[in-house]
Amino acid sequence: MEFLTAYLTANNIIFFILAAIILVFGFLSVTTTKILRAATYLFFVLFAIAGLYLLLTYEFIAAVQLSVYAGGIVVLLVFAILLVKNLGEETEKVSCQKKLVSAIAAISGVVISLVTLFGFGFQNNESADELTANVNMETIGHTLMGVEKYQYLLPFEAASVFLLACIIGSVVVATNLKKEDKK
Amino acid sequence: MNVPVEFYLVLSTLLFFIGVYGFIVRKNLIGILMSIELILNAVNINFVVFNRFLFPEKLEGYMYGLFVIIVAAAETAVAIAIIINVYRNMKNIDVDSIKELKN
Amino acid sequence: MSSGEIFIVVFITAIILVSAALVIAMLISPRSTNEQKGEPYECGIPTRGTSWMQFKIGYYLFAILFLMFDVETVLLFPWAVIMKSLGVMGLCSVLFFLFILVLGLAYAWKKGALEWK
Repeated sequence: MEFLTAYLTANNIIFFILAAIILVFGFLSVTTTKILRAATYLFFVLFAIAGLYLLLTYEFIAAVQLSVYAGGIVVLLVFAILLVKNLGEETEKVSCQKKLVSAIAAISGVVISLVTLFGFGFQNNESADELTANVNMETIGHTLMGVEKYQYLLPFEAASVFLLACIIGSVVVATNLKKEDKK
Repeated sequence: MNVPVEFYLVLSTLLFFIGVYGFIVRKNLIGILMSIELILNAVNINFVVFNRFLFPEKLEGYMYGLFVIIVAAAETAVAIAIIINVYRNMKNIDVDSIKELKN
Repeated sequence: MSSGEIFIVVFITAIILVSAALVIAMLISPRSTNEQKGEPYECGIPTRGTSWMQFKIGYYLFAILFLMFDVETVLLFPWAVIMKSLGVMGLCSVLFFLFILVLGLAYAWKKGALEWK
């Protein structure tokens, strides 16, 4: 009973609810045969991960997760599914052997990782417990816009070139298809 | 009191290998892409959690997490463009039936 | 009362309230079903074909531009908070960032990605 009350804090309960959502819907999204449902389950997983970031008191990255992942990438995936005809009606058949082999691969991976993880013996940092105040936006801004050590202006600028390459690449591919449609 | 760091790590390990399972078992390319999203998210949880619990005064893991999300967005956009192109050329996006490099 | 106990009380109350509302509605509401109620659109005209139709590629182009500028907004947000203290140098680096992304938009515009035809 002592043990139980020690673990039943508000943070732990929220964590367990979020973890259950993430694992259940994550599992459903890789096992369901209907691809549009898989996208919906993925959406729930991404939402719950944003909740996890909020639990860690990192609000900005939770907002980024919601706006970029849940708001952008899932929409893109759904459009892609709808662009590919007949995908929704097909139920893909996977042989039992393949399922078994990949399940064995995944489970052995889990076992190896967990053994390593618990063998390492993490000690909870005391200062992390005290740090209940969240990181404010100004700190993030100075970290992103500075050129000193531990500051990230160069990746910020590189991201723009990266996004430019990405826009051009996908526009080239998609406008070619658009021309084919017109003909 | 915070949630112990091991809980987060166990969660991200399980999510990672759920993604790996999906990556192997899925046949169509969009399903594989979704499994990759799950894997990326599991890794991202690890970055953020290590930053929060081990070096809360610096924002290194935080920034890494941010850039991983951005790269994932770009990767998905380009991958879907390629998938739609493959579908138009082959009328199929099953990995088993895509064998030709050039018709 | 610790925060954990308060949380449990609030959580259980929320579950009970919502499920009670649903159960009461299920028990006392009158029911009638006919074929027209099951249709996806209640506009009087019978629907034809399946709901699974192929989308135009134009939707995808707009979605991709939306995603890219979504990412851009996310990156601009931390700068906007500390704009004053960074001064001209911060403005220059952000303008460079914006310039490069506007090149992408201009390219998409020129290739006709924004035309709805």
